[in-house]
Formats: sequence, structure tokens, C-alpha cells
Amino acid sequence: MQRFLLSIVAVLAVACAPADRSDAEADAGGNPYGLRGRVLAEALPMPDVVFTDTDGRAYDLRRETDGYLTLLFFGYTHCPDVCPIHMANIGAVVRTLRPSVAARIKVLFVTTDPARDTPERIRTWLDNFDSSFIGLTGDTAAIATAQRALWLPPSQLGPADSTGNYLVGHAAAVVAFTPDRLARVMYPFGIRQADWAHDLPKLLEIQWSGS
Amino acid sequence: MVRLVMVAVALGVTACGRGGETRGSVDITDVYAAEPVNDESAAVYLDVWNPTDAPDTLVGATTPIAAMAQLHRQVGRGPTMQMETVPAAQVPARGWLRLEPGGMHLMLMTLGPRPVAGDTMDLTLEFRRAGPITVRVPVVTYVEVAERAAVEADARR
Repeated sequence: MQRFLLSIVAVLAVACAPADRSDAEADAGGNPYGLRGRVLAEALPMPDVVFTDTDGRAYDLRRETDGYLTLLFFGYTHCPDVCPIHMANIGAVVRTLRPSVAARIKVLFVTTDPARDTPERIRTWLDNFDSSFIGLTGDTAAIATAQRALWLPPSQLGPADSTGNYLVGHAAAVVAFTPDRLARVMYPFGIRQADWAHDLPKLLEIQWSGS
Repeated sequence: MVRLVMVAVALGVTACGRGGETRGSVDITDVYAAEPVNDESAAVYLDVWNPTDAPDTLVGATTPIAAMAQLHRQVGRGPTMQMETVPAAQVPARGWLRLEPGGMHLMLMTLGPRPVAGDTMDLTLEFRRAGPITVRVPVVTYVEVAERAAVEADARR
């Protein structure tokens, strides 16, 4: 009941004060939905690519993500810093969401290092963050196609050191697709758990104008 | 050339002002390691404050738990995260060297027994002027790494 009252108050406040300061600021920033991520000027369709999941099964991106809020990230399991931080942040937040909300979210990790990232290795790595995360691999061409479709820079292998280890450059942003399979928002590195907690439920609720 | 002369002058001042003492000193703060999520590597983050009038240089690090340590830094800025290995990192005179998520960090390579969150480990940092400095490093989860980075970023805002 208390919650219900609060909702009414909130609605009234918005209705009476259309020029609310935070809304005005959001509009000025080109973000009319009040999201913490960067809303794309133009929504991009889910790449038409078939990857392989960590069970070795074909994973058709468009078919599997229909109706889900999908977070897609390109990275690699030897990644020391950016990749585990993104994955840990998302995992921590998804576990705090209401189960009905969490059930509508899919987190996809696509390796940019298919030579070293076997499906088993990806599975073990992802389980550090959340066992529900979906790990995907494919040939280099398929990975590049998916990156290109999202206007992301292609991943690049760095030089090997004396032990044969090498680093992989890759897009640092997580791409969020709404349930209509359109990429709408990018989350750069530096995005925080509080930002995910703020945006994830909203991404499922927003009525997007145009596409 | 100007820079080289200035360094020489600064070194001279320190040497004289401290009665011939040539070693500098640095303070290590906010040091923590990420609980490894694979068997090969662990990231360490820390801040170095150099209170002296002479720049110093972090030239290496050793720890009993790893075969080697590398310094990684992010190359350029932009949509791509590309890290590269660098041999050393300068600590400016009266300035900070910050090793932090998404930026420069120490990478411990080829781990022995894999540390877990809650452990601590010894890490010896080697500075050109200040010499070796050993610190105790707490191991924390990546979730905590991310939150610490956020708190530090807020504090500097």
C-alpha cells in the first residue's frame, strides 16, 4: 500500500512539474529516457550471426535473443582487467534484481580470442561471475561480422611476449539490446553497479519511440 | 634536454638537502589485487605518492605467488581497449602514479597456488631511486575491485 501511494506521488510530481530539472538535463544530453548508458542515435539490429555456445551447440543470435533484454560483450578470458570487471559488475547486479526481471535478461560473452578460448575455458571463466551467462565462440570472420554490424572496432591481437602470452584489443563497451532485438544503448568501461541497477529494469519498461 | 637538466638539478638538491642521502622514498596506498579468474594471471592496483622533488620510476615487481610481473597500460583512448606491456612507469616529483582498473596495472603472470578473496600476499615493488618496497596486498573479488575504483574516482572528482 505504501508503495502504491509513493507511485501516485511520483506520478503527480512528474505531471505537475514537466520541467523537472533532472529531465531537462537528460534531454540536453540527448538521453530522454534518463538512462545512465549512452543511447544510440540510431538503433542497430542484432547481428545475423550463428555462434557456438559453451555446450558446443549452434547459437543463432537473432533467434535466441528474441524477447529478451540482451547484454552483449566482446572480450577474452586472458583479459586481465576490463572484461572481468564488466562481467563481475553485471553478475552482481543481475543477482539483486527481482527474479521476474532477471529471467528476461540474457548476458552474452563473445570471445575475441577463439584460438585460446575453448568453450570449456569460456564456461569456467564465466562461472566466476554468473553461471547463467552465455559464452559464445566462432570463427574469426563471424566475430568480425558481429562487431562490424554493431559499428564496433574489430578486435586485434597484440604481439606475444617471451612466454607466448598476448593481449587482445577489443571494444570496451557492453551493448544492450531491447527485447525487440535492437541495440539501443552502449555501456562504456567505467559504468558502475549502481548504473546497471538503475538501467536494467528501465530497459525492459521503456516504450521506445521510433526504431 | 631541458627536462634532463631539470632532473639533474632536482637530484642535486635532494642529495644536498638530505646530507648526501641519495635514496628517495615513496608511499604506496590503496593497494589490492583482484581474485584471479583464470590460472595464469592476477591484476594488482595501487597508488604511489612521491613526496620528493625528484621523479622516481617503478621498474619491477616480484611476489612469491607469481613467476613474473608485467606492467600493462592502456594504449590511447577511444572505443577500443588495447593494453600493452611497458618496462617501467614514472612517478612524478611530488606526484602520483596510479595503477587502477581500466588504466595501468600490474599483471602477475603464471600463478602458483591461486589466491582467493580474503588472502593477502607480499609484493615487492622496485623503484629506481627508492629501491625495493614490500607491501601486503589484500586479494578482493572483481566486484569489489569495480566498487573500489568507483569510490576512488569519486574521491578525486
